Amino acid sequence: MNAVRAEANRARDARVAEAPGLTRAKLAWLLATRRPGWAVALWLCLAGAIAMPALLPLLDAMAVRSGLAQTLARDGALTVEQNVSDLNTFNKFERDVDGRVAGRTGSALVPLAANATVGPLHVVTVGGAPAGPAPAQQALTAAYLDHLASHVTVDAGSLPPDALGGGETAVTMPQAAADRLGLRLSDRVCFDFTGGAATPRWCARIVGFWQPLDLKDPYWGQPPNSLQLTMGRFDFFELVKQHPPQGPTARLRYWASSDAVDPGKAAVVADQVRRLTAELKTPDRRLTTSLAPSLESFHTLQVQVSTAIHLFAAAMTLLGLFVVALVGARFLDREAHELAVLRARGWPSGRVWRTAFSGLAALTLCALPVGVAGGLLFVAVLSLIGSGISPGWLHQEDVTGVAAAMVANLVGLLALLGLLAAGAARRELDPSLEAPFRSARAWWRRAGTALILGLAGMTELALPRLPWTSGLVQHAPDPLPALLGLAPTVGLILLTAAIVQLWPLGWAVQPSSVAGALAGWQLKRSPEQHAAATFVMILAVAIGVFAAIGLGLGPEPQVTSHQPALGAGLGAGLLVGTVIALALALAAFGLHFRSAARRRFQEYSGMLAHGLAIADLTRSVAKEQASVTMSALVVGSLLGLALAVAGLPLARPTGLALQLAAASLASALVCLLLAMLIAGSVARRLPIHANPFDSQGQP
Amino acid sequence: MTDVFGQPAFPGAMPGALAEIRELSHSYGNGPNQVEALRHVDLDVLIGERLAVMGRSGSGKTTLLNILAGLEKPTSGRVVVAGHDLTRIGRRSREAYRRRTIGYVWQQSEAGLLMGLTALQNVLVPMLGDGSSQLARIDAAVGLLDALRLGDWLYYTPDQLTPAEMQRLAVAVALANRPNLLLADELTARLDWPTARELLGDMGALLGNLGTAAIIVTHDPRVARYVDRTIVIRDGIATAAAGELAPGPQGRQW
Repeated sequence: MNAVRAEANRARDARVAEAPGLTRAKLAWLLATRRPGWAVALWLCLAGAIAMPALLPLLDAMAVRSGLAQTLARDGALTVEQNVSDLNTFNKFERDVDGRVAGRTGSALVPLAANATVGPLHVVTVGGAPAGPAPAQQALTAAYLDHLASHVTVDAGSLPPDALGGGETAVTMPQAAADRLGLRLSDRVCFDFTGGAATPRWCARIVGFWQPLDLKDPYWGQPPNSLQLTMGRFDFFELVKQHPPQGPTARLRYWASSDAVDPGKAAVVADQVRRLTAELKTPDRRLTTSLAPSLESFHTLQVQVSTAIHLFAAAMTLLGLFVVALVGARFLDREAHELAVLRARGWPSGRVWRTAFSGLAALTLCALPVGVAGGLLFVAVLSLIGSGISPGWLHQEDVTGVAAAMVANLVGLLALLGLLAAGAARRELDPSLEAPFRSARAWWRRAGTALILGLAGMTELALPRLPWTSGLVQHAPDPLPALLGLAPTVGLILLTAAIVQLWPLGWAVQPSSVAGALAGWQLKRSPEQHAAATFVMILAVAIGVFAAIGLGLGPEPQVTSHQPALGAGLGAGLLVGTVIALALALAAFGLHFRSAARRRFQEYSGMLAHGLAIADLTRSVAKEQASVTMSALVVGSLLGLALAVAGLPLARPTGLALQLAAASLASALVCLLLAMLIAGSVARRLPIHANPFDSQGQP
Repeated sequence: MTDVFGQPAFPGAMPGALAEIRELSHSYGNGPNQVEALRHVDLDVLIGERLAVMGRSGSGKTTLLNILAGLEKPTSGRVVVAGHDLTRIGRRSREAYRRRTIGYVWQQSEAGLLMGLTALQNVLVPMLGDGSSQLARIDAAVGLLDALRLGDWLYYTPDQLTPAEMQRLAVAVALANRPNLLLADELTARLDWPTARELLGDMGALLGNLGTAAIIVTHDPRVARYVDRTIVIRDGIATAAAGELAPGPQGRQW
C-alpha cells in the first residue's frame, strides 16, 4: 500500500515538475495572441503605423541630399580666370580670390584647383633629332596644375616636386597624349611657339607619364588627356619669361561641396555666390559658374517637395494613430471578457491594465523590426532601381532625425494603446454593472461642435495659401515655418471630425428590403457606431486623392527633369504612402466590420432562430458598409482636393496634365472602391452553419 | 470589528460569524421604475458553514451573491465579511477582498474562465502575485485539479471540457486562493443529478480541507442535503427554509 502511495506521489511530483508555469508576462502574451487573426492584424497595422512616419521623412532626406549632390555635381563649380604675367601676380591673384571666396561663402565653396596655362608649343626636336610628323603637327599646352599628384596615377617615371627649380626643366604629361605623339620617358623635347620653326626656343625632359584617377573628377577644368605638358610652378613661370604668344592664364576653380552646403540653406548659399561673383568681377577677370541659379532652382523645388512630403507624413502619422486606435479598440473588445474575469477575480485595475498593455506593447515591439525592415527594404529597392536617390548621401543628423521621429511615434502609439488598455481594464464582467450608455447629444450641440471644428479646419487648411503667411514664413524663427506647413493636415483632421459629427450615414440605405430595414435601423439607432471607421476611411480617401493629384499634376516636368532625385522622391513618397495608408485604412475598415458582423450575429440570434436568413444579415452589414464607403468616397475626395490645393507644389495645369491628374484620380478611386468592396465582403462573411445559441459556436 | 474569527464583527453579531448581514436592502432603477431586489435581509454565516440560498427567479438570490462578492454595492444596510465592511469598502480594499477573501462560481461557469488558457493555467491565474514560488503554485493547482478529478485534463482548454468538467474547473479556480467564503451561483443547474451529486461531494471535501464557508444559490432542493442550512428568499425577504429543506449540520452529507 505504501509502495503504491509512494509511486503515486512520485508520479504527481513528476507532473508538477514538468508542468509549464505561468507568469504575468506569459499571461499577457497568451491573452494578446489568443485570437491569432486579430493579433496579426493589429501587429501589421502597428508595423505600418510605425514605419510610415519614419519612412517618408527618410525618403525626403534622401531625395533632398541626392538632389543637392546631383545639382552640385552638375553645376557646383565656380571658375575665376585672369591673365598673369609672373609668379608674383599669380600668387597675388590666388590669395585675393581665396580670401574673397572664404569671406563670402565660408566653408560652402572649397578651393579645388589652381592652374595656369600657356601655349601653344610645337615640338621641334625629340632627343636632338627633328621631330617626326606626328608631334610636329600637334600644338601642346604648357600647364602648371596645383596638387596634380592627388588626382592622377603615375604610369611611368615620377612627378617632379612643385616649386623645384634649377637644372634641366622636368615635365610630365598624360600617357594618352604621349602615345598620340610617340614620345617616351626621358625624351628631351624642344619646342618653339610657332609651327614649322627650325630653331627651338625652349627644351624640357619628360620625367613622367600619368593618367587621371577619375575622368569625371571636377578637378579637371578641361579634358585631362589633352595634349599638355605639366610642370612645377617655378619651371612654368620660367617658361612664361620666354613670352609665348598666348600669355599665361591663371584659373582658380572652386567647388560647392554637398557636405558643406546645408540643403535647407541652399538659397542663402546661392545669395552668397551671387554677391561673390559681383565682387569678383573685374575687367581683367572672367567668371564661369551657374551655381547660384542652380541652387535657387533646387531650393524652390526642395521646399515644395519637402513641404508636400512632410504634410503627407503628418497626415499618415495621424492616420496610423487613428487606425491603431480603431483596430486596437476592436482588439480589446475581443479581449474584454478575459480582462473582466481578472477584474472580477479581484485583480486591481492597475494590474489588469498592465496585463492588457503588456500584450499590446509586446505586439508593438514585435512590429517595430518589421516596420524598420520594411522601410529599409523599400529604401534599398528605390536606390537599386536607378531612381537617383541614394542613402549614401545621408548625413548622421538625417538618420538621427528619422530615428527620433520613429521613437516619438512609437511612444505616441504606446501611449495610445495604454489609454485603450486603461479603458478595457475598467470594464466589468457583467455589462449591466457598467455605467449606462451615454445618450446621443442634441443635434444643435453636434452642429455647434461641427461648426467650430469646421471653421478651425478650413482656416488651418487655407493657412499656407493666405497672402500674409509667405512673409511670416520667411521671417519667422525656425520651427514655425515647418509647423505652418503642417497646418493643412490639422485642418484635414478637424474638417473630417466636423463632417463626421453631422454626416447622415443612413442616406445611402433604402429600407425597402429586410437587409435595408435592418441596416437603416442600426444606423438610426446608433449612428456613432461607425463614426470611427468613417473617420478613418475619409482620411484615407483624402490622402489617396491628395497623392493621386500630386502624382498627376505635381511640379513642372522641366523643373523635375533638372532635379530627378527630388521628383523621384516626391513620387515614391506619395506612392508608398498612399499604398500603406490605404492598406491600413482597409485593414481598419475590414476589422471594424468583422467585429460589427459578429455583433449583429449575436444581436439577431433570436431572429436567426426564427427564420431570418444569414444572407439577409450579411446583406444588412453590406449596406452599412456601403453607407460608410460612399460617404468616405464623397467626403474624402472633396477633402483630398482641398488638401492638394493647400499643400502640393501644383504646376499651372495644362490640358495634358489635367487629363493625367483626372486619370490618376479616377484610377485611385476605382482601386479604392474595389479594395473596399473586397475587404468588406471578406469582413462580413459569417459561417452559414453557425448556431446563434451556442456560445462555443460563435463565428 | 476587524477579527471575525471568534469575535463579533459589530455589536449584536454572532460570535464566530464569517459574514454578517444586517438590514440589507438593494434596489435597481429610480422613481416609478424602482425594483426592490432585497428588503431588510439579516443573515449570519459562520466560519466553515455551508449555506444554500433558494428562491424563485428574480427573488434576489443573485443580487445577494453579487453584493457578497463585492460586485455590487448595497443600497442600504450593512454587510461585513471577514472584517470587510462591504458597504464602506474602498476600491482597493474591495479588489483585495475579491482576490483573497472570496471565490466566485458564476451560473455559466465559462463566464469566469479564460477560454484561451489551459485548465492548469486557469487555476494558476488567481495565484499570480501571491508571493509563493512557481513550483509551489503549480503543486497547489495540480492538487486542486486532482481533488476535483481534473488531473487528466491539466492541459485542456475549457472549451475542450464537458459542462460538468467546466463546472469543476470553475470551482477549482474559485478555490485557488484558499478563500474564506465560496459563492456559487446555480452551481448544478446545468448538470444531471448524479453528476451534480458527485461534484457537490468532491467540493464538500475540498471545502472541509480548506475550512472555507460556502453560499450556494440553487433552485434544486436536493442540494440542501449537502449544506448546513438553507434560507429562502421570497420577494427580496430572506426566511429560514421549511424543515425538509434545511436538514442542519447533522443532515449534511459531505
